[in-house]
Amino acid sequence: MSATVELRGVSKRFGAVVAVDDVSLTVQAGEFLTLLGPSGCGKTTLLRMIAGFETPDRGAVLIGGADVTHLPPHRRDVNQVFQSYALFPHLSVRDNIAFGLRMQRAARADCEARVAEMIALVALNGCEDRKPHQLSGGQRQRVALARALAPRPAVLLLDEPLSALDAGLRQAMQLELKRLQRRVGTTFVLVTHDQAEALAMSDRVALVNRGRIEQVDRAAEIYDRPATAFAAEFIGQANVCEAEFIGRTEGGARLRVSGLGELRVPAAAWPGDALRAKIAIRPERIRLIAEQPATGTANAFPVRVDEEIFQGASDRLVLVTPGGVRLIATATNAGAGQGSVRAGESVWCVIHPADVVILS
Amino acid sequence: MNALAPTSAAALPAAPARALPGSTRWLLLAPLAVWLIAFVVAPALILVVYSFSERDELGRVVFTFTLENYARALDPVYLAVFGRSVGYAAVTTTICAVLAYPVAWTLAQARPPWRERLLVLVMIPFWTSFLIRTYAWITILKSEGLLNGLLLYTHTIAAPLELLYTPGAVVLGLVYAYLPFMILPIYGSAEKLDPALIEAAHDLGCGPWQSFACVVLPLTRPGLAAGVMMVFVPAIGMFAISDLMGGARVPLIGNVIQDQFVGQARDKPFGAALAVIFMLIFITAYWLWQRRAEARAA
Repeated sequence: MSATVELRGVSKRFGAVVAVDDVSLTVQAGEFLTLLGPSGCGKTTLLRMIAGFETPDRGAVLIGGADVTHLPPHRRDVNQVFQSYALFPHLSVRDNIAFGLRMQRAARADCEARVAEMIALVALNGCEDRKPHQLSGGQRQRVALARALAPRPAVLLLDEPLSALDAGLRQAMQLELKRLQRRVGTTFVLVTHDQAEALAMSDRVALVNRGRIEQVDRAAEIYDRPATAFAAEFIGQANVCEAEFIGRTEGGARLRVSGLGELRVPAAAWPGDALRAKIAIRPERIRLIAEQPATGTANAFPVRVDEEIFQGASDRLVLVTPGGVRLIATATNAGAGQGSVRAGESVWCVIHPADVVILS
Repeated sequence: MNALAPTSAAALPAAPARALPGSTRWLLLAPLAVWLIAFVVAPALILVVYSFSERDELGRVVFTFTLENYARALDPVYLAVFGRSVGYAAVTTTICAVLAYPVAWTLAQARPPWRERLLVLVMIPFWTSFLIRTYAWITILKSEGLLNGLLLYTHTIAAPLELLYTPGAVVLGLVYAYLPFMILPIYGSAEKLDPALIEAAHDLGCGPWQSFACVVLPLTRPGLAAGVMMVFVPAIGMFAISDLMGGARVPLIGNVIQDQFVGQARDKPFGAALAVIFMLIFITAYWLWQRRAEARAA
């Protein structure tokens, strides 16, 4: 019912543009994997290679262990939900969903039963005889899903499936997609540029940038331990700075960040013989306190609040150190009576050594 | 466009078109109305009047009322000619459709600079008079023509083939003349087709033929229908090609009608009756087709 997808060193160029550059990736059977990246990063080309719409210049595509690199789309056990849905405008909802089954020459009774099952699955009862133009955006999205799932593909590909929906519906559909994937157990490969979508739905996220995969891991893992500056800044927000190694102390490594000062990190976090590296600090891991902390507290710096931006549940603060480094911090909106930080105030910021992420 | 920049009123999107006052609207339509009345309605009425008249020995029209012309039109001889005309037009239309699809499809898939260039190629034949192009075909096809010359020179054949003045030559001439009128409307429909629909069809298991039959054909049907109209209707009444390329051997209904008006037969009332019958058939066919289209849309 579900199958693995494997990309082995695939590359693809369009004219002078290298869309995909030597990418290897394995998607487990039954896994929900998201290809996340900015537009033009090559994620859609990767998806189209799995679907069969593009043939890699080099490398191989395997589905369920079988090499399908040169197999046309209609001979692959893979279906896609298109960004624009690509529903057949001349066919009813029922005929759209039955399309793939008819191409498989399924028996009429089986076909009808499967269509009814799909319509129930995506809760479109009563819309069977409507044409796509008579449906709302959300309903079209469901028809596209049902149509792609009806032939029981081993792998379902989703190309920005929620981008055409408004914000509220998008969140509801995120949950629904995830639930659906658990129910049918099919391998899902989703493409999106929306990190919230990736974090909400996927088992694992493959971060794509400039035709390469920067990091593949569980979303929380990428968030806590981003491998690169791109990963740190694309998933969530991060303060990324350049750090210089100055020595070791008991249980720690001492770094110097120009404009900020001396920063301690756990010894194990610092790569053996490196002299310089980029570091990342998540805004919500920067703790703000009004009073000067006790001497000996690691990573405490005086800062001035330059700007505060109200964001509802939290405030976004722009901090400036005496050395001129700007840091972004977030402060939870604790409610009335809780002293909040105002622009122009001078406070102390404290960063726990374990919250400093060393990037490669 | 900068969303914050003030926009001039003219740049604002789609202000609802203000209805023109009644008199102005009529004034704008007047030239068209005059044209239609002078060159479509009036001649058609003259034809109807002629069709119920008689002719004298000199071929002049004598205005009486008779159904004689219509009775004669139903003679098996003329029904056979009419049947043959429909047959030739149907074969022509079918061949045009089969040839036009790949061309229209290629045009629709071509990238912009090439698309315009290829479209010009489709239209280049119109830059030369239709009659001259038909005479060019005669030069190619006649016994001592270019094609026979080439085949003889290469020893493919021993004696010249009879190519001109055959039914095949007539169909060739008709297809050649009307192919662009099939390509352009199909291209118009194919160009609007979302390429993702074709990909979706492939994705759901369609081979090339199936995706053509299940997606491309149904979605370009309006273009095909327009093409059929623009080829079948004129082809059925065409007389120049059957005259020039078929000799007198394959007279079509157009030739018969032409003969009544300007040819040797000189029987305008009878020619008018044939033309009126012809028109009625088309109007009925069009009406039925339109009704079916409306029923399908509802």
